[in-house]
Amino acid sequence: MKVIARIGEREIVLEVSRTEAGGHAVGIAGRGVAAQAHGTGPFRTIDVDGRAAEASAWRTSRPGLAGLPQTWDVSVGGRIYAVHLADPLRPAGGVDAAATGGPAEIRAVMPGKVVAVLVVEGREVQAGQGLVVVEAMKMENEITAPRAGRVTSVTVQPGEPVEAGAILVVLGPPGDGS
Amino acid sequence: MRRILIANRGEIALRVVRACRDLGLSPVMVYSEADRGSLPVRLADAAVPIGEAQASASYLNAAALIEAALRSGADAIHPGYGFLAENADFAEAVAQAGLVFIGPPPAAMRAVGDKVEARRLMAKSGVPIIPGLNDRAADGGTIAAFARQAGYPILLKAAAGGGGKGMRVVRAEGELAAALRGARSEAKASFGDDGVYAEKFLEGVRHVEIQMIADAHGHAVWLGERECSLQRRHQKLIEESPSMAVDPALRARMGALAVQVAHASGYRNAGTVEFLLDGAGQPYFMEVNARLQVEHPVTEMVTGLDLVRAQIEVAAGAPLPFRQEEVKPRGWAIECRILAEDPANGFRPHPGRIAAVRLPAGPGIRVDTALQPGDEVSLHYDALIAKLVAWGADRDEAVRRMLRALREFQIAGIRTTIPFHIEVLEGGDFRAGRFDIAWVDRMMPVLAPRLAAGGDAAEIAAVAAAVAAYEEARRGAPRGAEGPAPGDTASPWVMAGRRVQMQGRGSRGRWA
Repeated sequence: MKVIARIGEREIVLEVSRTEAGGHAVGIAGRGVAAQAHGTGPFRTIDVDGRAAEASAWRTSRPGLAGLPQTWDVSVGGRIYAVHLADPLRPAGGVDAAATGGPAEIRAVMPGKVVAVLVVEGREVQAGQGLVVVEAMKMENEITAPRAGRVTSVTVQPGEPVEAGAILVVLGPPGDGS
Repeated sequence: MRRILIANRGEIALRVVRACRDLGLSPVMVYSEADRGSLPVRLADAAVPIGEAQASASYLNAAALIEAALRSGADAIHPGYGFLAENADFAEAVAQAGLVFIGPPPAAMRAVGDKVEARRLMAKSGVPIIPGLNDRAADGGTIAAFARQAGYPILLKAAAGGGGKGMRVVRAEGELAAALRGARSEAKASFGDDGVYAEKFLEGVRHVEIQMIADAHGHAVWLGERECSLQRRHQKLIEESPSMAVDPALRARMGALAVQVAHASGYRNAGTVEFLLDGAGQPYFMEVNARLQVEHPVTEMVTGLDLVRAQIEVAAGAPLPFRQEEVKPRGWAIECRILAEDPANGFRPHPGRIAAVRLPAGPGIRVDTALQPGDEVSLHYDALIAKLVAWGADRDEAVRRMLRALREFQIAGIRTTIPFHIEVLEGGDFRAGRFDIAWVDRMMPVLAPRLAAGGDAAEIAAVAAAVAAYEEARRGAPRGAEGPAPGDTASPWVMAGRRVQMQGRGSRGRWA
């Protein structure tokens, strides 16, 4: 299996295969290095170019998406690495609508309960302005606008429980001054 | 005393189960629907279901807890920390049911547990306090007037509270209304009382607290200090004992103040007197935590005492098993709180299923945790999942042991504060003891990007993810923290079991 792994700005092309001993051999393109993985999980020992460390990896993207791309969190030596895996034949692309001023769906990042809605439809908001307050783990978390814009819809109300990923507010482009 | 009901969950419930075992007493657990399979429940002699997952229906249900104690033949209740631990009405109800409450008497709890009453009492006893309102039900207008007179910033605090819940720093009048609303609703949710008061917010100060314990025979001793300045939004993250900011003379002065507080309030059992320490070494009384504290292991590691055992003995009427001059702290201890939060993203709660755990061990390491593989870290409860404690002959040895243990600690399935602790302990400020209570909030803009960037093992991480993805694809049964995939190729029996499980989770996973 061949994948493009992206960590932050870095991209690494990897090719994974199983060894007869039950471990894995991993080729790293462009570096001519063969890495090895030992163990059956959840903790595997990974050896890259003579440097070995124990790593545990768990998938953070929904398992319903059976193929690539996927996202994984990996813990190595007490540090966390967010790894994005993509198919080298269909690398992930796309432009972030939120950054360009197109419609942005503001979603709950965790399950919780809406305790306050701070905006109404049609309201102009500035980047960083509070939109909705969601309570989770007894703490109130204010969800703020990622950019300036006009609130085109508010899909939750106070008291409502929300799941992770639920749309809270839809933000349109900033108004035309009308 | 033969049987103790533990009215709590998680690591602190396990801590009390262990103390019971060490004393030859029988521990009884209670559990909410979410905690049926938890480690303390497994290790207790008996376990009583008390209600649904949300705390208001279970661990805060005083009547259910007392009934569970009576039905299981317990003669005492240990409340742990949080939940009802500092609720004087609960302590009173326990006593009225003919049971021993392992904690301070209700009157002392009321005298010190209510932050405003405590301030009045301390001012009367000559203990230095922070300038502020002594009105427990201050309205917005009174608080605004105080702030104008004392000057911003001010600190809003829940009159009935602790643990950082219901607290807000207000830096300008324009922020006051929103902060007051947030503090009141958090106070109401956490303590069932929306009373909020205000005091001057001191800057550049440290949080140093004194552990004390008093018996029913008029003896009170103090057990050294804990430095708890490394906190985020008033939630402690790292604690140590001793404090680099406290010399023997100041230690003795603060210890004497703590004992004075205990006597003035008629205190019994273990408690903590919290002080703010300014740059000139002047301590100001902040509050009393009328309970066992999260960070008590730090004191246990340097004094060699078992505080939970001492709590139980004192509650049973025994005199304190040690005198002041017999308390001789040795070496240095540090505690890191491992929370189910992502420090790279604003300490956002990070619930999920624990896929695997490996605890650190070795010389000088203690781990207090109830974590087991398969546990669901839920949004219903506090995010604290483990306390990692390191002891060393000196601070440097304790720090190095802590770093070793943090790197050994593996928790697969959720993000935790482990990377944050490594980043802090490796830093020059921590090594030099250069920090105050605002250090973490001030430094997070610098630390967060570093945490998000990970360390120097990116290639190893990439290989680990690719291998795990490869194995998942090969097995053809992708499964993750979210549950089984729609196309899962499990047997019909397994699928039926999972459907039941998921339905159960769906109904419990909602806030009521």
